Amino acid sequence: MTALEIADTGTQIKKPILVADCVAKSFRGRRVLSSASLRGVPGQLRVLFGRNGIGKSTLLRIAAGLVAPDSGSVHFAGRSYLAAHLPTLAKDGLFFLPDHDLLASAFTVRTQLEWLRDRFDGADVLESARRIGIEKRLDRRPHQLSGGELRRAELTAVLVRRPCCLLADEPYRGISPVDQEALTAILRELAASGVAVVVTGHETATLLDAADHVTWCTSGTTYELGTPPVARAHEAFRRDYLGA
Amino acid sequence: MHSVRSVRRAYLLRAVGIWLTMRLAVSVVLAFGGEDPIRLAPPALLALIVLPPVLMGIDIGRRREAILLANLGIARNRIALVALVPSLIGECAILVARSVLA
Repeated sequence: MTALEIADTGTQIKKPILVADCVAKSFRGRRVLSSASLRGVPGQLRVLFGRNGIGKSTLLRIAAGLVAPDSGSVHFAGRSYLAAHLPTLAKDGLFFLPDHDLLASAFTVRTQLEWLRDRFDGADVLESARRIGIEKRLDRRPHQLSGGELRRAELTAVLVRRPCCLLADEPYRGISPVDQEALTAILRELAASGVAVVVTGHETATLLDAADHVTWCTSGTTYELGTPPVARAHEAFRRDYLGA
Repeated sequence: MHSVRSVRRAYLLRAVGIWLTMRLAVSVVLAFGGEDPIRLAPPALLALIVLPPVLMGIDIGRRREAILLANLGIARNRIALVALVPSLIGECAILVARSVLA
């Protein structure tokens, strides 16, 4: 059994589909990550916490193949990459939901969802839109939608795509509580259906309630804290991040 | 996974617009300079063929469409190459038409 196969509970073994292993990254001489790791495990909703500017988004973008790490590697769906590229990972089932601007303003929401459906034998566009409550906005362009509607439209894209691994960068940012609830329900549903979900954010109450596992990014590295109750009990995490 | 024909078609339309705009701009400048607005010197012709993919790549970045394309499994550079099609076909068509009319 490899270290990666050891599950959080210590008893249950779950093999991650995505591993960003010991990655380091500097920007203009400033070291953001020195040895950080991230895992996406099928059936789990994992949350990556960390203060602003600590490197959460960078780590997520490295795992998604959008940023090349200075060192370290990315493993996805049984393949290893020193410099992963999202187009390659996407073909194997990864979907990256950025904190903004997933959908292009030049095309209608429907067109872009149909592209995803046609490309990957995805789910029905209208049915997915109905689940999220965005069906009446399908023929609008993304810039004609409100922040909450846009987030819903982007989430519809995830449902249509049916990925095996979803990386979502701050999906809760700037959306109303009711949309947050809907988002949590969808993320939980995705995890329950076997998708490996990794989410970042600062909405600690919402995310700790929804998460199966907590990873803490601080001082250029990451700590696998385990389940939310274990994370809440972690003294340094409580003191330095939760502030409680 | 299926082909990306519908995506390619959408970007091809955009590429046609880019090439037509460039061609029109060059022709207008040539006409004002008292030159033949249709006939181009080889370097200018080459630039008109090569520049649309570069502009397309920049445009995709400007419109922040790269992540959507990447999630579709399409690299930005690859879709930008689609812009070669209208400029190549257009310039060839103009050359053929000129020689036929001459």
